[in-house]
Amino acid sequence: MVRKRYDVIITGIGGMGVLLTGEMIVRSAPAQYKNVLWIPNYTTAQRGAPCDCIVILSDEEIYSPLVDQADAVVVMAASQLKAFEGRVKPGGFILLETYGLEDKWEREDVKVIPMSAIETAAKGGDRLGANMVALGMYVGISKAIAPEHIEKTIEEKFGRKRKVLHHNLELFREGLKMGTAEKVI
Amino acid sequence: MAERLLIDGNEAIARGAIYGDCKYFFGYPITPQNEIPEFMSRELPKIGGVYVQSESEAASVYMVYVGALAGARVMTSTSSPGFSLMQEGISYIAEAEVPAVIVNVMRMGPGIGTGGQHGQTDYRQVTKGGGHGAYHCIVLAPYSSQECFDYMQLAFHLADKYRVLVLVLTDFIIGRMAEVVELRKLGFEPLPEKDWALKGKAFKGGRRRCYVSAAFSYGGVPPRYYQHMAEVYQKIRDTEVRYETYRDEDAVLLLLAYGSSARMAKRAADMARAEGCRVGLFRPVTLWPFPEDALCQAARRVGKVLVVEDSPGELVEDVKFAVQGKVPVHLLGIWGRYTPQGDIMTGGSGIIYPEKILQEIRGLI
Repeated sequence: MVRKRYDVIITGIGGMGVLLTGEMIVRSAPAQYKNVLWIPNYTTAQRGAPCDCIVILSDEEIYSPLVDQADAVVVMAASQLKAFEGRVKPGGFILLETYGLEDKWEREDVKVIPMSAIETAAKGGDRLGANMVALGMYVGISKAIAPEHIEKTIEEKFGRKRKVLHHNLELFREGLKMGTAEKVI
Repeated sequence: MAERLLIDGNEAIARGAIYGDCKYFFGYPITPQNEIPEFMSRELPKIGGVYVQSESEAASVYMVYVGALAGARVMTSTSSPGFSLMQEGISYIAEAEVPAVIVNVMRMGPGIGTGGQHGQTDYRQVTKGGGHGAYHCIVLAPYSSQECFDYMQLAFHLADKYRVLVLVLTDFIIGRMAEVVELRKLGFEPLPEKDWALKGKAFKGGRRRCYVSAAFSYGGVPPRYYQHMAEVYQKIRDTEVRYETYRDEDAVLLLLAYGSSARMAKRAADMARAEGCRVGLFRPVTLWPFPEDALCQAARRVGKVLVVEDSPGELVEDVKFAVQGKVPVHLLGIWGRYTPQGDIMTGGSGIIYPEKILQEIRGLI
């Protein structure tokens, strides 16, 4: 049976494409869900400061835009682990960027999945594409949304820059492959 | 079917204004409402409109004033500190009875506040004046992107209908939260011609006639002025009160919230119902005129009220006034905020999550 509701918190540092990653999910989702919602959280500093966004996909009405604990948390910057470790529901999963990871996680009731998005993107020549790898991994693991909907959104967003589009699609597919290989749910 | 777009509350406000036939926008940038002027500066010139970035909020409010005097549909948008700067002009707009729309996307706190931080701390200022002279503005409080879009059209209609200033009050959450909006054109009853507008003698049979006075220079405030305004305000109170109720028929506790807090409260009501607690919600949509009578009836039927607002307690004053001491009124204010991650700060000072409201509900039932 298809689940009726998915929510995810994506967190990282301003400039990494944290809000954009959430936007790609929410822009793709109306094809599959009756209601979708995206809300950012940021401070006055645009780059270099922590930021996060919440995405909710549901066939039922979405009232509260804010979730205390989500089904999943995507930690795109390792420094955010401690702040967001508690934001996952028991039984949910954390996608954790391994680059620069110094902290240890304490939760035992959630699955922590290491993610080498920055390294994967850097191998492709540009670590700024790490968010596309993370996006692919989240989609591959959660199966919250069909990958073709995301690919269509990526095409719409970057369609005017063929090189960037091609690069992003490649990284998304790479992440998707890594995510699908994970046996979580 | 109308086009559907995924847009945030700010863009919904801007698009709604254009659907409401607004062609002129005068504004000054301030977070968290910059998406409104950004959209307007790009789109208004395309439809023969004008976007002007003023030198300050104090200037933009006067640009709105004179644009409205000329009979056009004009607006500005700002956030709390900018709204404070506009108070003098707002008072003048109220005095001259010219119709205009101002959007306040609230920040939290007095002084400069914080641009990226949510809060509902302008309630008293928008509903009780802010400027001098005992005037009223109609205040609409949307709680979704769709309502942002729809209420902007309604705001321009009400402004023209009563020749008053209409304020649309949102906050960081409503402004930056993205949802799917149906771009529908709303229909309203026909409006009287703006025969008072300053359009030049040619439009008035070559005669010079003054309908609008920006100064009570000779002899002070005319004796009939406040009587006339009282009649206008009474008419608005009689016809324009708007509110929403949710699952209140059999409730034993009535939550009371507007704007973004109402979203959290609605979720909390559902969570309480799932636990077997019969909880409902009353959401004022017009903060002025405040739905006093409807609230009083609902509160007396239910028997107990919990006000939820992200503020030290402003809405709660109107609620207490409305129920006239006949029903106990509790408040979950800004101290109900928490950060789920504990002490670790991530750039905010927390939010009143539905879980906190549920906890408060359990304590009251």
